[in-house]
Amino acid sequence: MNLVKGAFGLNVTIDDRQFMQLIIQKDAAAFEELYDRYDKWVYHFAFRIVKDSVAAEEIMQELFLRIWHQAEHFDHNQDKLSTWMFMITRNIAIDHLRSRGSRILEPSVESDPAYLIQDESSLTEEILEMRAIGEQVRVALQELSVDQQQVMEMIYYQGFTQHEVAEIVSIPLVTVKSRVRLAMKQLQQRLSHWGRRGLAHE
Amino acid sequence: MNDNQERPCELLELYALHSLSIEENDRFEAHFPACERCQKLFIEYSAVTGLLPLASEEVALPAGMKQRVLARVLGRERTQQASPQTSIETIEDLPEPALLETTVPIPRSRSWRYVSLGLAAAVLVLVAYTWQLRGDVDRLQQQIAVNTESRQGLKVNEAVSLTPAAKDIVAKGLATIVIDSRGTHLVVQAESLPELNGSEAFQVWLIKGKTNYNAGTFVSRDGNGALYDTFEPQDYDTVAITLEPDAKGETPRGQIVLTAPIKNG
Repeated sequence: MNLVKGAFGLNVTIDDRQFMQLIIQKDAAAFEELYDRYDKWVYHFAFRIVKDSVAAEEIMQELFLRIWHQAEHFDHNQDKLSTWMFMITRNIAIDHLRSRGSRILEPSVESDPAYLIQDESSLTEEILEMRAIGEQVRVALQELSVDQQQVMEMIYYQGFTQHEVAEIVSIPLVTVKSRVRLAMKQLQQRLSHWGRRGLAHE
Repeated sequence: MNDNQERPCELLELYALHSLSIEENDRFEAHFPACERCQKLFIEYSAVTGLLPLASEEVALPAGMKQRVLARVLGRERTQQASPQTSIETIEDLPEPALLETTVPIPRSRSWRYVSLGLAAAVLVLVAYTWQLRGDVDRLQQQIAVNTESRQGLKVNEAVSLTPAAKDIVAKGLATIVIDSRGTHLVVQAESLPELNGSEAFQVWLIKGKTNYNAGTFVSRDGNGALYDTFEPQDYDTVAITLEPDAKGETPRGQIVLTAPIKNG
């Protein structure tokens, strides 16, 4: 829940659903507040996929353009706002990878001290909580078998189809499906206590 | 493996990961309303998918990105009110025609043009900021002559031209270092860079003897690239751009493309 100086001309406490209603009404203050609420998580995710700061910023530009112009497409009953934003971010990022013609198959970039956030004073309770969730998700991913990690990386983070994975890794399609199925089942068991929480502002 | 014989239920996990082809997606959605098992598992797996982005490693947000994004979406008059913590403005706000010569040539790509303009604006503003600070320094020095008090928290370095490290390299660039109360900032801008292949990337280094500080990594577009970093001053004497096999190097491994001595880093 946040305070926003919105179209009402007053400080009001609003949630994600109301955020989107204000943005549909072209409330720039609400839009900026939405940006501040999600920019870190969206950028980290975009960078995770494209591994390129310039491209990640391009993805941010495109994402927030779509939110501003297509906010009415968000269905609060179907998705959380964060889920919706992450889904669009991933679509844009994977389109970028495909247009670039090169997808990096390494599991992830190593943490580069030059990139890490240094300003610890700006940490809020929410950020610390999201970091804790993120750490648990990272651990859960690392607990997958190497084979499962590989197919999850290729399919979810690099946007390959199951057929492309089968061809690139030289394994039967049924093996790709099996690895994804087992990986999702294990992740669900490890992370079920977080439920549908995520970046919850509902 | 005959893919046409797969049962729709087998597509559930990939559906929850938003990773089905259009044809597969249509096939699964035709099946989904009639399958209670898939509906139940989909809720659980969607929760997993919603958490996966949070596993991304944290990286610093590019300086001025908020203003550039808001400028693109809302227009520049809106962003002039936003983000008072940074001083980066739009390119149109800079009145000095001579400064425009330092901008990165606008590439063909429309989306890159916006990013490039944003980066160029950051460079221009920092250069303009440098000039402004030079004026401040001059005034402060005059005051020093009067009251012998030393200036504090304000130091300016000149922009240095980056020159090719080998005869066959046609690239050129500019490195600007600005020191203010918030730290020491480096802006590197380069053009006519060699084409990158595969996972290759350019990395920027601040060098003092055998000490190499990684100021960051960038990927060029149409031969143009730029980078911004805030670093701890260590009396570095050289700034260099290297062509690296990937973006992960902690020390220089590739060929130096551009380099310049810095006097007061």
